[in-house]
Amino acid sequence: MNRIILKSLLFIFFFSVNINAQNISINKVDSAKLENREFTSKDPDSNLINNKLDSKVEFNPINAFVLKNLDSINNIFIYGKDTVNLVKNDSLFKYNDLLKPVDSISKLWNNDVFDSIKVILNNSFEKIFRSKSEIIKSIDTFSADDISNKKEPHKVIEKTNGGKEVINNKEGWDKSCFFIILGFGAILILVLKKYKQFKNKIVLLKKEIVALNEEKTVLHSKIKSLKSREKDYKDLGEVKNMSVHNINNIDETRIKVISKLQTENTLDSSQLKRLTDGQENRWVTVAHSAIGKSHLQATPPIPCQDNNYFEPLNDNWQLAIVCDGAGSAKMSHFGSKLISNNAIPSNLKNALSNLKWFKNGELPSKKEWGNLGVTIFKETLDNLIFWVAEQNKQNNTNLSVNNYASTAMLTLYNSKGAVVANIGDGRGGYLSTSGELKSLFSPFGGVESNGTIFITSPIWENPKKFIQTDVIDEKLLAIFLLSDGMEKVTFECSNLTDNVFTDANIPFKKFFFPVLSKIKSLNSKEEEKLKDEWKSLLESGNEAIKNEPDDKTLLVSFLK
Amino acid sequence: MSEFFDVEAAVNYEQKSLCVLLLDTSYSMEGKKLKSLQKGIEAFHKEITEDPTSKNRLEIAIIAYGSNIKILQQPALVDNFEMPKLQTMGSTSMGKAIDEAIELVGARKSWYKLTGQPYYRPWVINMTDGEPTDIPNIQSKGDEIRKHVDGKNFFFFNVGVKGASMNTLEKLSSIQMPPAKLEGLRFAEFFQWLSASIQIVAASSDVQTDSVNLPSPSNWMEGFKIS
Repeated sequence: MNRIILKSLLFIFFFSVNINAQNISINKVDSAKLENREFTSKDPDSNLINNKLDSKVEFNPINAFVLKNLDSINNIFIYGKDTVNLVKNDSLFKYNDLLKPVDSISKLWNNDVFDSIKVILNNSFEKIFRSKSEIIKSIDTFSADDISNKKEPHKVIEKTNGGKEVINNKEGWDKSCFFIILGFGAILILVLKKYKQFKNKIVLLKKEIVALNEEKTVLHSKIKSLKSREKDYKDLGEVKNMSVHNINNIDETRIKVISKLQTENTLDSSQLKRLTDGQENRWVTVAHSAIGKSHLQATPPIPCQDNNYFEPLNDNWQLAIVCDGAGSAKMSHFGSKLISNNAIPSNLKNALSNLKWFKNGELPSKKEWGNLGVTIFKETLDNLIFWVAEQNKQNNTNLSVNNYASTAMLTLYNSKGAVVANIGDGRGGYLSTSGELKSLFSPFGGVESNGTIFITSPIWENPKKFIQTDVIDEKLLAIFLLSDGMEKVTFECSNLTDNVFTDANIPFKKFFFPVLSKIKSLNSKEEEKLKDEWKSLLESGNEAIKNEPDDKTLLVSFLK
Repeated sequence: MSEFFDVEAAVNYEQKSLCVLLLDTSYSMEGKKLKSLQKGIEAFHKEITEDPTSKNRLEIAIIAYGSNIKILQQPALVDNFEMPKLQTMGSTSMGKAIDEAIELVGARKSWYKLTGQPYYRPWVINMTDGEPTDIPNIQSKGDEIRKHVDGKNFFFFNVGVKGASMNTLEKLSSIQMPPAKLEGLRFAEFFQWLSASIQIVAASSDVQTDSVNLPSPSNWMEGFKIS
């Protein structure tokens, strides 16, 4: 579109100039000024047309004409230093197009070209605006032929074919006006067009500004995110630096935290006295497995996957077992039940019946118990595999043993101490006769809180790496086993001090001492209420227990 | 409350579970969809705030994506922030959002690890009603996601809202967690389910097997049938 307008404008402009040129090509050449003396030539044969003009020849009619009539020449085209073309629309004024050499042209160019341009412009304007009264009736012209023939220039009265003697300048004026107005109109259109373009451009730019602002917001949020991450990394850096420059700092922090928590969780002498006064040397055991809140809220509800078992084996030994079925395994509530209530007790009792240390109520060596503990669990797994195969046959199912995955922990104890074995993330603790609350073993877990092992896990190539067994050679007052659902409430297990995380794994005194005190305070009739009260405690004993998402098992055995 | 046993609960630092929400806020979400999504995340916030365990355990991060991505919320416990107001913006830069989520999860996990604390496996939830405009190779992006999921870096769950290309989401999902389609505008029901699922997985001792026993998604998932 713009191109079309531009082309039209150019066309109009050139056309206008052309018309203009035709209209204003009226030059008065005063023949009187072209006197013979000024055109004296040394060489009478010199002829401009034949290009025979000697360079030394001073007579140059063009030169002379130009100098004399500069103000009346419309257009001078200078093609080169030594070539002049005088353009006259007057047909009487005839030169061949090329005249050379003309020495004085360079002179003319040097000295008078600006004057000549000025004159041209003056003439042009003058002619455009010349009034009607200034009609020129005659044109004196100068024939090149005359010059070449060294004839005196003569006066020519213009007579056109139509016998028209004048060129009416009014006509030129009207046409000029028309084309000027047309030109202005076109320019106006162009300006409007440009304005519209600018307006569009402004809209586009505004849109761009909005987009950039959006981008800015995004970048700001990025900066914010990076800053917050920088802070994280700074914190990390501090921790890292600690570990790089002084690796003991993390350990030191942990040792300090554990030491502080150990002190806090040790019974003072009066508390200890309260638990040991008038000791009957009778083990009182309470245990319950309660369903977790998230299992209850699930649709359909997930059954409680925890199970527990306890049994006084003889006058010397007590047995306690807690199993936590894998949340992800659909049949794990059966698995944990079978393992805790049948397989482990049965395998253990079989194995123990002929053992001397068991008969004597003495503690075995760690090695002996280690081997036995692993054997018991292996036999338990075999029982489970067999049982699952039976179930599959009976129910025409094809479930793998992994669907019955469960953790397992057991302890065999008496007042002299305990033996423990554990697969998984459960916890165990005890109260020594010196009033200290300690752990029985450490829960097995990876970096993920919910990444542990089960009896069905691929742990059997190197079982001792995964199965914890230990002999606690310390006189006991109480022993505890729990699933991870109860750990937050009953154990010091998650502490963040100075950006160092510590799992102290210490039973929480303010939980266990009130429990043991209560049991201690009960008479035999009141003890009958224990089971129900314990169930109620595990289900909704306090806000933390009530809101625990996971299944909760806690077994407490107290030497009353 | 048990008056029989006058026990106190130990004060433990709650181990963290990170949930990153990738929310499609492209222009196609404008209107009812966005309003329902907004209500959904607000209900999610309320639900977590009212749950004593999740309140101290669940860290939420929110990344909105349109013509570009916006981190509306850095990982934080719900008590520390209010749900942001969602606004629509342009196309569907899902690829960038996924990349950002992977980076964010990585950064948070290194913090957990360096402080020595165990954590629950993070969740990345992607909700969209379209398909990505910035993923030239869906298959390879899907492979990248599956690599992270198989490497137990996080759970990745795609939820398609009406208009979403489920075929594309399928390619961006793991076998364990195929994409689910939201029935109508049941965002609130979805977030209720999500909150419960995160709790169950956190409460679960193990999430290694394929069959995580999650609550039934029947009240929000389109075409869900109890098998």
